[in-house]
Amino acid sequence: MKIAVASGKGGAGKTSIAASLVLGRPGSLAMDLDVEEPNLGILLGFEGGTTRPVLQPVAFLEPDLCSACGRCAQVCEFGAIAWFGSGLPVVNESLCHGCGACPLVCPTGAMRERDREVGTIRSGTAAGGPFIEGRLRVGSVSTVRVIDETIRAGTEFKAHDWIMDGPPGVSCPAATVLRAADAALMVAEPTPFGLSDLASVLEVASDLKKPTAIVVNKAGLGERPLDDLCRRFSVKVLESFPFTRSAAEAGALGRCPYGTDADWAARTGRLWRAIERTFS
Amino acid sequence: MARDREDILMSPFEIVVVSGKGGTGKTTLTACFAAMAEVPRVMADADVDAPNLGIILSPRETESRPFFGMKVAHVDAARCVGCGECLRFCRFGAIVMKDGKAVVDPGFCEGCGGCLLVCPESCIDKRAFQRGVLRRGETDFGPMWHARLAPGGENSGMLVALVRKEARREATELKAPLILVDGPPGVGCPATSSLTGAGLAVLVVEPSRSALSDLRRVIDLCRTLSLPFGVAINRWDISPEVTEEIRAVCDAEGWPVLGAVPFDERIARAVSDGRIPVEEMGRPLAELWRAILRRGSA
Repeated sequence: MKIAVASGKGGAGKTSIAASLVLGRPGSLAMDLDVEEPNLGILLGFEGGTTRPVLQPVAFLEPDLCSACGRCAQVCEFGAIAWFGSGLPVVNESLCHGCGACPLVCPTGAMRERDREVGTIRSGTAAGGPFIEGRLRVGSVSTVRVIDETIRAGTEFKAHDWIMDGPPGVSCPAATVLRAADAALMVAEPTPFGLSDLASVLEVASDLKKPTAIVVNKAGLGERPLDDLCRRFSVKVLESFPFTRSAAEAGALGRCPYGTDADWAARTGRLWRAIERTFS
Repeated sequence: MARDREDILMSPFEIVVVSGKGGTGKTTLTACFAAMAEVPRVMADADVDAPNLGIILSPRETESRPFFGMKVAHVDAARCVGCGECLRFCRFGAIVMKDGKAVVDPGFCEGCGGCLLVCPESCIDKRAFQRGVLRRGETDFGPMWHARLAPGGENSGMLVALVRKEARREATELKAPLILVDGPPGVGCPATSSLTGAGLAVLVVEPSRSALSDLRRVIDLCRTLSLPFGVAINRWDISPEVTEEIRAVCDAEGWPVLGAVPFDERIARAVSDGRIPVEEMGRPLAELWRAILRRGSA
């Protein structure tokens, strides 16, 4: 089963819960899809492995072939090609989305594409199990491309269970991860901020018709009840992890509380059993 | 020269609070700064995915308007013959076949228009969808602009840019010298859009290895954008050991540390009750704010 761990709000504890699920079921694939800020590898002690680039096509002009007709600039919706009515068009690579429209309309074959590195995928073994991580190159905005490629590369592991640590937010990156998953586990921080963002991400999962359940993290830090949200989206709370200074300190040092806190590990075991009851 | 000087004075100074990692306290700190600033100011929430500044600043709404992103492809199902040319062309995985017809997922379509060009039946056109809402409200500390992206939506960078543009326009009109922006997490499209052309980035970090790793990336982004920045350590006493490590890294790299605020359950309770925890954060917060102003005027 492919389980996406999401939350809407950042810092709710997605990565801690994802790492705990991985440690609680050896052999499951740990997949970090928070490609703008990947941290699952820190909590699982990932080192070494292999790295491959994530490439994206960008337009480039072969000036000798160009007839200066300007069709490429007219078709580009992203303002990535400047053309001033005569002379050669100029491509701005950082604005190019690699959509492929300009080579399609170029009558002379002068507008071509080349690959540009927009991120990397690291993979190998972490905490005795398979691990894969997507990492966006800083300065690139191709977040979804890196997520998609990482998910594709993850199938090479042939793992039975996937734990997909997702990005915060509710826009295209978060939706891309939810779309690829069989089920969504939402990490709820019971604070006013946490619940507001949880409602938004529950809406995304509901639009995508993904089986969804909630796990509460940092219980006790805020006291907002979840009953209304659970009713509105017909979802259940599977388990609750309390806010403790010891869990926060473990996280600070880049350790997963699963390994340092027996109560946390026991709750992870119960969470896995509840996931199986709920999603299968 | 005199004229230039005047233009500089007239142009509002924009401070954007970001962090890379989410949940480090951006929104709480931005609200505190809004409460503490002593000059006329305009606030903006540039986290349009998960907007929270309004929860704590409680703006009384004065304006609300729909946001339309880029136009996206739409297939006329009656005329679609299901050849799949559009699906094969699309680089964004935005087109799927359903019951022998092409269907566009507007959440993934980037609006490039390539599918319109390859469709042999010419049955695809482009339509604008409402992708979110832009809002203005009055807070106790001045006007606030914020927005909410429709869940699952695209174009968050565009909406971020729009929120900042409105805040700047109003600050300029009001001759307010300060704009305070609560930024989004990450280093991608929304974060880039929130930082481009700002005056100062305040980078909130908590003492964790993860947050330090994310800080490094957001600093790389600031450098790419040639944007001055300073580091604010939040909840430093959760791990004095990692706080020391972060300070050492900042010293070695030449990243200015502006201040450090401790963790206190009373701060969490105040936020939970919808109060701005200026009092609870006390002197370390006041010192942080003074350091931000000094860095901003440098």
